[in-house]
Amino acid sequence: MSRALRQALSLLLLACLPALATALWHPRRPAWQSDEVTLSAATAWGSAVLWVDARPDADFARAHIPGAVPLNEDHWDDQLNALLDQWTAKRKIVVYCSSLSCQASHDVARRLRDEAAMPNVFVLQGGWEAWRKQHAP
Amino acid sequence: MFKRLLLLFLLPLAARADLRWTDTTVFTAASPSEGRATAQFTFTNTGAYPIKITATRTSCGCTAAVADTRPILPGQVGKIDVSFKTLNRRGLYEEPIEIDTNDPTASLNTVTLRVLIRDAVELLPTLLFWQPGEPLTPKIIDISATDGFDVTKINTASSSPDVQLDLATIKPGADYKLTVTPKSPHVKATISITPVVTGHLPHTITAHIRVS
Repeated sequence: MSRALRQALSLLLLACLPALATALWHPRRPAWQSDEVTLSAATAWGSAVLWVDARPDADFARAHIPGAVPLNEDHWDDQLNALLDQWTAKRKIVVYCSSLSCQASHDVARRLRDEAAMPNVFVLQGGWEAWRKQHAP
Repeated sequence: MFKRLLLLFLLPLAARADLRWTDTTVFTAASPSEGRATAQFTFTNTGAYPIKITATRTSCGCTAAVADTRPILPGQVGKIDVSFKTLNRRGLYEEPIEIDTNDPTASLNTVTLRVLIRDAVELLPTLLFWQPGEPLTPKIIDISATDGFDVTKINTASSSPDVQLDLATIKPGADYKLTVTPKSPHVKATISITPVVTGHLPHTITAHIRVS
């Protein structure tokens, strides 16, 4: 029994080695912490949240989360300039796009974090669809 | 009975069109000023029946996919041309493209376009801010030339006279430091950084300055 247990532990240890190497050095390793935030968590932050809408301008014009500012990559510099007028380092930025499957919110969040070095940047899980479902009349 | 069962198993195999992708992931690199990055996905119909692409879907308006509209006969090669908007974009993008076909065994296919968008130089960071009450001490933007670009000079300009810029060359053609000093307690400015690159048209990158 103890021999079987030893063997099982040895196998587990062996499996951990490539996993650890992947976690440390793989160029596309998954993040230790997710940058996503649920709608209920983001809403609980209240006025500390600066909602950022990463959808195309036409979608933003049709409807958006109240108080949200547009920031899509087609008009990056102009819209970032306008966003900064409403931003302070204490505010939490929550970026959203259309739905769970869209990638634009992650791309915008990545650029705010990596290029602009802004702190507290999150992505809304489920995006605009999640917000609309909760606030549908 | 046995023959009927055999037919039942063999018929779906015979009807199989079979689509083989050359690559399901294609990597390309471009600069923002190019406007578009393009790539092509190809597949071979290795089955016995024609294959038709019935629809393509991309995850954002930044990607467009145009597929062969003609039926791809057995043994023939079909293609899907994909283009990705690079203007104002930077970094690595992964765009999934969903492709519907009339092949019942592979009606939905997903291929991925990976695009690396790089300017001639990289700025870090692109935003400098001074919080309320923070002393207006200088802050630095690191400017580094991207591999493959021959940077001969860096031009800088501020939209506000209340921002002083001092550019230092650390390693010619490779590394520079831009020291930014606000001269007023309320400054909102943009800094234009334009590298002069051999063989390329000038392309300006913007950094933002905020003093609350």
